[in-house]
Amino acid sequence: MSDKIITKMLPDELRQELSDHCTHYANRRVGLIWVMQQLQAHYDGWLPDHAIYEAADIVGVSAPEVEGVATFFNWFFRQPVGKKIIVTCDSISCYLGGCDNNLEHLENKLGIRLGETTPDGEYTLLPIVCLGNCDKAPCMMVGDDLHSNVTPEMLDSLFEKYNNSPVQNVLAGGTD
Amino acid sequence: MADKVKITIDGVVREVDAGTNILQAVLDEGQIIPHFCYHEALGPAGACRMCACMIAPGPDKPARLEMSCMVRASEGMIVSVNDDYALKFRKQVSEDLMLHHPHDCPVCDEGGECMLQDMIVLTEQQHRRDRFPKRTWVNQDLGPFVYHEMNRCIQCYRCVRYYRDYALGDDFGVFGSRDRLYFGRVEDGTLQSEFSGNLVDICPTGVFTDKQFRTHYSRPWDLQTTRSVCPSCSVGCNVLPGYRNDTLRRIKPAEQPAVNRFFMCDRGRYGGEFVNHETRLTEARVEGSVTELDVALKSVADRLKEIARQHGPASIVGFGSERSSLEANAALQLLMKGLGSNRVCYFDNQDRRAAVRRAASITASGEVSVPTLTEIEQADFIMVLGGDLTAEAPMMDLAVRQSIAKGNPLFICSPRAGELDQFARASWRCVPGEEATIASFIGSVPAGTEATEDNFVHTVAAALQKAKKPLIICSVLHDDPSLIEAAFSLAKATTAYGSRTCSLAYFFPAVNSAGVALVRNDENPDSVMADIEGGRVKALVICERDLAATTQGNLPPWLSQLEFVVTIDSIETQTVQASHAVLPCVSHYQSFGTLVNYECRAQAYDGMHLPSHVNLAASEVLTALIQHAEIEDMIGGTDFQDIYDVTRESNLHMDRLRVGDNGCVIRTSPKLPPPSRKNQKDNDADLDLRLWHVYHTFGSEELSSLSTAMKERAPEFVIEMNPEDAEAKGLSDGAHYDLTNQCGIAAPLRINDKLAKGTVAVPVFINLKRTADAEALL
Amino acid sequence: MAEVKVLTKNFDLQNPGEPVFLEKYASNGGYEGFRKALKMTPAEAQQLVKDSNLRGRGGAGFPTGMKWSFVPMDFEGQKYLVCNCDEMEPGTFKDRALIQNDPHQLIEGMLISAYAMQMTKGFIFVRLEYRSGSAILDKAIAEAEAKNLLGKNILGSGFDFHLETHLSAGRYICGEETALLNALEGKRANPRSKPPFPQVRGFLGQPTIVNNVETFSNMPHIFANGAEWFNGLGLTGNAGTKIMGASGRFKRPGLWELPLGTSTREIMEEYAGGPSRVAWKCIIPGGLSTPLLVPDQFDTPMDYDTVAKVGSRMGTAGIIAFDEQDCMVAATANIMKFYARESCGFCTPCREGIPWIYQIVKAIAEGRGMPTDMEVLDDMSKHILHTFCAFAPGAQGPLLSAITIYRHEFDAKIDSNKLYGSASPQEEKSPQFQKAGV
Repeated sequence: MSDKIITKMLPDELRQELSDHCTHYANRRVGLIWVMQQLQAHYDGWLPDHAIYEAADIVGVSAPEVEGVATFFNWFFRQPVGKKIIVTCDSISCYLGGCDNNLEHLENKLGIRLGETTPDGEYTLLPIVCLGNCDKAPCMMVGDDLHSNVTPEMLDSLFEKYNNSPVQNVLAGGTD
Repeated sequence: MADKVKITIDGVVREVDAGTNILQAVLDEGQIIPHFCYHEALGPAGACRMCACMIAPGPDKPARLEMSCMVRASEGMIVSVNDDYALKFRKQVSEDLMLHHPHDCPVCDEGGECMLQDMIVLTEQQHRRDRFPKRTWVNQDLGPFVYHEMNRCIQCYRCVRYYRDYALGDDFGVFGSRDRLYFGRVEDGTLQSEFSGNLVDICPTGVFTDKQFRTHYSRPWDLQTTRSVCPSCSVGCNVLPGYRNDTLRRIKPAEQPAVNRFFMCDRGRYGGEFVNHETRLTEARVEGSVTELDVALKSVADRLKEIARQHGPASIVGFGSERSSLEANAALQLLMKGLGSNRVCYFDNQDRRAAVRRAASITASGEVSVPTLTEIEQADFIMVLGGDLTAEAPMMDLAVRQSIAKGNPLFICSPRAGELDQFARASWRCVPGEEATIASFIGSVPAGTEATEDNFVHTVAAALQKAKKPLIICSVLHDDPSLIEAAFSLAKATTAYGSRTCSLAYFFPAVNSAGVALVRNDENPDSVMADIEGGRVKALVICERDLAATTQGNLPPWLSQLEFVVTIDSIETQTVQASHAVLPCVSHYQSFGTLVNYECRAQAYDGMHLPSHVNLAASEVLTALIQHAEIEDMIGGTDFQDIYDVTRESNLHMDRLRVGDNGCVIRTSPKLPPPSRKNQKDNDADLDLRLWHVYHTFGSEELSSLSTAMKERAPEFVIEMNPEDAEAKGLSDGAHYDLTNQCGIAAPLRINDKLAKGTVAVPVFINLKRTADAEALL
Repeated sequence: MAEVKVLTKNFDLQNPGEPVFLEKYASNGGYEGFRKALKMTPAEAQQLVKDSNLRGRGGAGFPTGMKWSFVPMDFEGQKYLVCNCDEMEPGTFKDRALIQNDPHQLIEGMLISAYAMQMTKGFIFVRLEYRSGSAILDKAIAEAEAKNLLGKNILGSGFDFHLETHLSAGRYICGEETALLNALEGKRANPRSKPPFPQVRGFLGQPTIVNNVETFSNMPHIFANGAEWFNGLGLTGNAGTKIMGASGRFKRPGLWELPLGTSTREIMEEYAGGPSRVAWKCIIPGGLSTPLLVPDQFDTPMDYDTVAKVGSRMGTAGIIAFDEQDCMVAATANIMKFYARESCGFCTPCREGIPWIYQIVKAIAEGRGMPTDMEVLDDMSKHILHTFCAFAPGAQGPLLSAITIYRHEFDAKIDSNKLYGSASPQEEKSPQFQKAGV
């Protein structure tokens, strides 16, 4: 660990808050996902190596258990991601609605392929399975915003808005 | 005995235990259903889908494809292993599993004993239809014991289930999901479990292979294998040393239902390098010059007889060893009898002698029930008294972990926390010597007392009174006879709480401690040493014992006063170097004999036949010495029972012992020797703190610590102290701390809050270059 | 058949407005069902659910009353109630509508269920992509707590129930109830072996009931109006209404609440407005994991039993339609991509088999097929039936029917291939995981 880069400090108050949350359950481990989501929000949308150990320490489970969870679920990232995460649904209804064209347009527009982050660190482009919005296919999410009936033309105007938006749409996980 | 049910397997009616899973039932019948994720120790998982069979609950019921490991046998069940549908399904699973396997068999260490290969061949899956790229992985460096090659993985989950759920390790896991599963550590680094080497055996293919075996690899089918007993602790695990040409290549556990079933600890597995060690003795030496063995034997025999004539027979004493076989120790007894001396001494001090002999006679008395490892796994309450079970009897620790894994309580009372303390429901740190008091407090708590959070004694007593299969485990390594007594009293007292009995297991300093403790004729070491210092003893015959081993590597000063010291051993110990004559014997893994483990189970073992100049076991060297001294007449008629205090039945059983059988539990005559108290003449008398010897899993055992890999795993050489004591003394972490006068060592100080206040802990490191290491640290 | 407003009585599925919060919900008969339940004993309440013949609305259709009856009522420790709102089945989007529009309906349904089984703690397991819906639920829970409809001694009855939302970190397999419980416990969401069933040993080893959002949402109405009324809603013997959906090749895709047993064709033509381009080729009737239905099966009434009789399943009743211009090979490739990506990786046929199937179907679709591929697909489509959980059998549904019914399309693609047998050009990268080699 000593030779690893520490991206950011974990403030004591936040650590305490996360730890307190876990006491709320019959087993502290129930709080793990929430704790990891909060840590991810704190560390700019991804979980650096030290966050795995921090989560393990806060919740009281072993680091491999945390790493096992972090690498299992779709919404934990172990590599840096952009300020806005774009997920485009490519399941069947969106496929029928033409999501492949949208994706191609998006890849060209952003200059990255699925799974990559733009060099300026603004966007990460990921595939997602069904967003539960199939009657308005194809759809995608940018940060917290759901966009329905997406077309290549619509993408152009959409990104004008996002490119100019100063707001960071970091995936914050649970916000209660 | 479990109830039996009749099930039909491929048309043949078999009687099996009710509730056993079908796969195990079939395997027990000597048939095989291909399988990967199922392991008898780990149970079913249902992950690999390889053991699929057609199973119908009864004659008129429809058969369905089921995983045989997941189905429990019930009366009338019909199992079709070789049904076409099942065969086809299993063949398809084989194809699935081989999609991403690298087919790197020519360079794979697992070759020749690859379960994956065996099972794939069984399913007759021979052709690859996949044409897509295989996935690849980056491997990890997992330390000196285990080599990692993730690309071979078939994702059966055995490793993670073993490492985390069975061995309770916390630095290994499964990462990723879907077809991208990775089994390893969060980052590169040495596996911390003391049982990591079992990954090599548990992995059905070559993901985890033996890194030490790699350093002198041989194809497994070129290895010759014998069946032996591991010499590194008093559990006495059965092992299979594999050798080729003139070297030991690796050690694997041998299945022994009464002792270790599938596993062994890393100390045993990787601790066999002493066989090949550069310091092993190859020639006899007399007064510093290399001599033919026959000439040396004759010369030593003459010299001993001469000393007996000159100074009287009582001037010669035999020093036996807790790591020598019953046979070698018996031969030493005979030699001493033949020389007319009859003086034999086995222990370094009277406290150890009292503790070991008392514990062994309690164990062999039959007055308490002494559990096998399997019975330890089934205990529903465990209390460990004294010592550090993980380091001092590792496989007993692994058995305890099975009880913990079922949610049973563990309590520990010891001066210093070990690895097992993290699983304890409560631990009590006391100064050395106080464990006995705590144990007697627990035994005297009246029935019906409730557990209270801040009262360790009440908490333990309450749990103990509720338990149905309680077990007390007690260390005999710390020379405290009163603790032995207290553990015995506690076990006896607690049987009064109900109809159930409380089991008791002592673990001993060495592999045959319990065996030599049953010797009838054994002198008080303190009086022998007084005789040596007083010049009344002129000669010693030392058999497989390093006098520096338990004294922090310092030879006793009186050794140089002796006129003649002859040592029989296989390696160049400090004692060998200080001897006038040296008679070489073969190493443990090349010799044969009988060893008695912690349950007083006598087990016969056999040796490897390495081509070497040295051919005789220690017992044979001693017998040859008797012959050369021409003293056979003096010892004629002495039989086993004259030497060892065992019952006639035990004697008869022992005559029939065979290598690889279940051994026999020795019983001694019912009268126990009187209890004794710890000798108050402590060598820590001029210290205000009590001295505690820390045995480490890696580095503290005499033979295994000669292995290079063991040195890598040995912890740092430090003296430990509780923060409060350190503060009172004005010492800080890393300060130089000199205990040369008290126990012969000086080392950096390490503050340890898991060490009892009022205690100073020093490590027992035997073959590590302690002085150089310590100096380098300072 | 007209739409029946039971679950949707407070909102319009086609033009949803603002979420219905407590004031409006209560003014329209909200929490009446719960007040009625409180007057019953828990055993009577359970019996009412049994009598209603309500079946699980999450896809499997297991009778809810029977599921509940396995909970040991004499168990003295903590029991848990969990709502499965991990809606990720492609073509299914009903739960989103229910939680976003009428959160109190779900809360009241859970409250009634908790009372019937004397459970005092509950979780709503919400997928992360529905975080806006989860926020609405959180607000509704706070409202209910403020009015003593949740918490301790609810409405003076002596009954306690604490409810909270859990935002999942997202995996399709979490929809499987035992995997969901693992995820809720902070573990990897691998399914557990059954037995023991969750009713006996579920969340943290305690008795637990997991039901779908729509299942719970039916409770207030069953308790307000009775079992007989509920049974009378269905047209073909299956009780109640169902939120039916349509997506894919429709003029007006959407959601409608319709009686169980409504004709599939009626949904497709009357409600969804008919085909959007050319004539339909086939449909997947109930979310992705159900076998295809072809046009001459379109008159099948949409209910549990009848759809099963024609060889498919009603599932979640989210119809996905394909038309004559859709290539079924490419569509199958897309379907298998979903399953390959979402497999949890626990058992072999699913972990290794489905990605292989995906590779093959994709290769065929892209003109890289080989004649031997169909033999592999035939073998594999049967093989993936025997897996640890229902995930891979779910994948088998559309796969097996596609390669059986549209085999000529597969054969034609293989015959006309241009890139004979070459490998797939490139794999997706994933920021979730770093240990992969090159």
